[in-house]
Amino acid sequence: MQIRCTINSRPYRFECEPEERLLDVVRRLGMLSVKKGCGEGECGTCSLFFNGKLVNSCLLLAPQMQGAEIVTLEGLQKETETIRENFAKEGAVQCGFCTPGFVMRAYDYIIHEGSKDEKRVKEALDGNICRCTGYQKIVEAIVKSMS
Amino acid sequence: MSLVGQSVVRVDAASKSDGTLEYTDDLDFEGLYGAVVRSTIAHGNILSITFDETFDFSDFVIVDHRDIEGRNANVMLTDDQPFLAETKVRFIGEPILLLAHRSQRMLKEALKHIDITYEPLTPVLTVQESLDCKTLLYGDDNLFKTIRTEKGEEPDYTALKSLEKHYSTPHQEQLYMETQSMIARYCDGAVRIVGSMQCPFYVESALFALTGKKIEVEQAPTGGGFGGKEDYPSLIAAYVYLLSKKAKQDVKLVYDRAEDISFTTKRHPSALHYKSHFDETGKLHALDIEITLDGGAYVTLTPVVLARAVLHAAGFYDCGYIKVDARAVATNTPPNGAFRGFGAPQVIFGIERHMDDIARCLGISPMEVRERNLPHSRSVSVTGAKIGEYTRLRTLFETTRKASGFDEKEAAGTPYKGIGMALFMHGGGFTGEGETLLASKVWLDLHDNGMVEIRIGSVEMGQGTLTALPQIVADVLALPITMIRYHLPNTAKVADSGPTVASRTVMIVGELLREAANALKEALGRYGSEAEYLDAVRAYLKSGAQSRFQAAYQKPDTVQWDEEHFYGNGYDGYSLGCYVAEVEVDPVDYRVRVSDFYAYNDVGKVVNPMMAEGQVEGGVAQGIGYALYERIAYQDGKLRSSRLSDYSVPLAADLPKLHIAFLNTDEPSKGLGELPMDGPAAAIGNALTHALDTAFDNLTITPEVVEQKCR
Amino acid sequence: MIYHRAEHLDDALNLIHQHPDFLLLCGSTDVAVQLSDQNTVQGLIDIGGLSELRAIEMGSESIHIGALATVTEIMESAAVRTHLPLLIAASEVFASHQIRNLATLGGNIANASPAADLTAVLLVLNATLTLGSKQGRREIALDELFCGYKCTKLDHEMILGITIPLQEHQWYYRKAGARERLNIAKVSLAVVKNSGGYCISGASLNPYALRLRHVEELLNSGDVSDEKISEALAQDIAPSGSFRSTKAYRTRVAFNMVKEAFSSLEAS
Repeated sequence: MQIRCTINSRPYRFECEPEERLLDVVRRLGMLSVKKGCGEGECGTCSLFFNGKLVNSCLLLAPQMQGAEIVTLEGLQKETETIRENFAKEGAVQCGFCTPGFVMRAYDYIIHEGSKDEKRVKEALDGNICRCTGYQKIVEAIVKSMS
Repeated sequence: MSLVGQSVVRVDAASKSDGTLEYTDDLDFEGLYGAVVRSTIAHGNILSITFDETFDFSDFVIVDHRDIEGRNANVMLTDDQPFLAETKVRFIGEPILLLAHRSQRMLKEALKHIDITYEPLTPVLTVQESLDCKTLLYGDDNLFKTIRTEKGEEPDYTALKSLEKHYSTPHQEQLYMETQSMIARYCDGAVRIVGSMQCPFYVESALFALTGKKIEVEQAPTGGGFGGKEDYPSLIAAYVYLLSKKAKQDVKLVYDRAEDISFTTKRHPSALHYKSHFDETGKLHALDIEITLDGGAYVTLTPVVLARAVLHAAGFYDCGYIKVDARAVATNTPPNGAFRGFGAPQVIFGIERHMDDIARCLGISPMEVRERNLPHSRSVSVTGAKIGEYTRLRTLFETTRKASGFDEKEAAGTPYKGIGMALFMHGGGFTGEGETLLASKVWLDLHDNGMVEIRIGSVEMGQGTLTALPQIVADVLALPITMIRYHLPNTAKVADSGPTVASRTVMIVGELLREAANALKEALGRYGSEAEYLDAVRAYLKSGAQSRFQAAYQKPDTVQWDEEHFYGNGYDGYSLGCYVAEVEVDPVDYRVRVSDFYAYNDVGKVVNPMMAEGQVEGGVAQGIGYALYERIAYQDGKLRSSRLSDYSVPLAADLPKLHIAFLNTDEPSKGLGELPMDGPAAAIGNALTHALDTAFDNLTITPEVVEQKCR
Repeated sequence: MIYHRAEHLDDALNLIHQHPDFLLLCGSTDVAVQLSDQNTVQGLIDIGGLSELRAIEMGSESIHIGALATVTEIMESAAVRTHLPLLIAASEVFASHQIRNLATLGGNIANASPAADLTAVLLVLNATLTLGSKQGRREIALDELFCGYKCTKLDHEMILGITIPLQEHQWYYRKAGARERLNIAKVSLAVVKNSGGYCISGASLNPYALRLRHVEELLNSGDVSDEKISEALAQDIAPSGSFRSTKAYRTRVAFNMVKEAFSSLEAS
């Protein structure tokens, strides 16, 4: 079936199968910051904005993209600059596979909620798994990005 | 200012956080996707393989064991594991056939149209069934390996108290965020391998057995390993190789999460038996330890995991007589393998829980028992070597005890709250004569623009190698780190510096690089400014002298090892840890919260403090997961918790802020990667035992376990 | 697999009538997992575009939540925050932020999982459902919906909205899972105490969500003891034991939660 949507403010038109995942489609279209970690909505490595809301793109089916506005980290390079710098400086990056997902969640959290309370930040990261860092430095980088 | 000791920002942080770094599945790819057809039974003979005639298989590439040109054996320590099963299957998920097709959807569809029939054999699913030997899977006793070691003289037991306890630890999944991924690149009849891995030269040697040829292997950016990408990638590299060779095209194989959790290697479960003899002050006089590991269906790395378990089984305590009997058994479950800690977290849980149990038995403080048994200048280890670390260990113990306020908190006795300690060591590098046999080499290439290139097989998988090793080289040469080049390795282009495992990279490979850099520095003569350096480089290279500087591992004189008698130092160097966990138990839902955590380490000189802290934070998180959350559930040999919603790892909100310290930072660098994984489970087990005044001897300590203990 | 997208409600109801065996797709959080598990799904009817079912409306005697309102939208609703703090409390520990942005209230109910977090809460809030089909609309009480494990009485119908009566009440909520967040409930307990007495339900206690009538009666009687709670619970719950949790754990924790709820609600 044919889908029209916008990704990172650019119009796209493509063919897809109904059972394909949004994750696989955006990756095929070249948005490779969106990673596949679990395929069932647990780990957050595939987080992207879908009509303004951060979601797990592995859970959505390609046909649901019809008419949707999708934003991936590729489309938020400028907006996330401070966050990314702080991730690097605070040591919040190790293997890096989960990092784009965390940067997306950090950006989403900062613009919508923004409490600097570490406990709140930790709770806000309930949809992102990192296996390397133990999260501490990620939390610190997010708090620092709000100062 | 010295670069070593600085929190240099990781060189790969920017490309990882903006999403531009390309992992295996992100690389340009035009070819076929691979899939593995696996055994659906735990033990049996393959009777037939039928391809549904109504389904068109003509455009699929199909590979079975007959397509293997060389040996159908993944050669690690032994060669018992076939790449593809021939007549017999030994675990649910054992690979039998390989398929490749342009469409992943068609691949999925095709899998439904292949029917394999079996003659089922009795599966051996537990350690006890294996020991019973009613069904033989390996040799005539089902034992992959036994190690027995005894040191010192047996004491006169008459005046001594004794305590006998069983402890156990379960499987643990590495759960690197990037699943196992591999690509075979086909070009003019030759195949090159690119993928996610810890040990490119292991993959090269596995492919050598498979093909009889040297195949080029290149590491792609790797999204975590933790041991899970030590030996396993050799298999998946073989699969893409075989498919690619037959298809004459590129082939990619990326595991989905359930496949990865279900069929790749895990931490060995252990059954531990500790019998101790001690006097009324808590002084140990004898330790009799039995270790049984479940190796799974094939030997893989099990014998060396077992060896490390033996060497860490008694900790570094002073004890006149120590006997260890260790064995690893075969079962019809997926082979277990390397996972950060490599046998140590299991036995550290045993010995450290046991020290607390001795204290409980005597009604004295666990601090008193540990203090009483700290080693001194004459103390010898489980393998009969002097414990040279005795002053470092005492300082670490005393510092942590004080900083954590252990004694006051322990005495407080608040209901549902507890505190516990683990005092432990981790041997850096390969066990015994392993490093000698590895004979690691490093190359440093000097380029005429002054750049120095590190050419080694050690990989970056998140732990920071790409930053830490250039720091060491730049430090010796007094150059900015930007003058040092270090790319992900390709086996055709670099020296074999050994596998990226066993906390050996900074300690062993870093030391070799320092040696090579010193040789380079000496060759250049004196230089001050960067301009002088560049002049010196030009002058040196103009003379036509060798631009490659090498170093190779040589066993230090201080290290002695007798493999036959399992006697000697065991490791080139030990790092030490003293961890304190504070826990709170919820009396309504029995959930355990780690409320505070002290992780004090002695790893000698810290190359990059920020990255070192990151290693400790991540290791402790995995250790907390091991203790409280992570549970692999098998049912009739089939894994039930193959999803992330059932295999719970800690999230941010589950972890306390850690108090981290590094002591003794003037000593040479020791291993760090694994140390922080070793202590948390024991410290938490002890803290819970303190909190509820009932012994927690078996991991994983789920709320269900706590509930049972609270009856 | 066949995919249909419903452009408006009548379209959706027609499609449901024609394809009663197709799955309804909206937030996709459960459907996606089901699709990767089974090959039995014949087709999907995407109802995600029915924006008329998204609204959360405050009435004089009730709050009406459209079936397609997401958990996040519920949490952001001032009306829900003011009048239904219990629903907010349960929403906060519902799955993860990213899933809350997708998952809909109607989907959580219709999926009929015994572990559904919000169904138990809606039961004790005396929610009623508006169901729609080609034949028309009907209202049923939420506790009339289920007929077994993952089984509902929806008959060529879909849930259009959920109506929750406004009433003075005190509440208790607790969810036990493996960790702090992102849990499938091992047990949860939702309790409301209003002028009519106690209303109690929970997740993962029965094959489908039920009111715990004997426990309610006991707490209403005021003659409460540990033994009596255990007896009443034994009549009300039949938790399963699986690799996820044990029957013993679920039973004991339910007991503890009932006690905790009773003492905190009696004290206030």
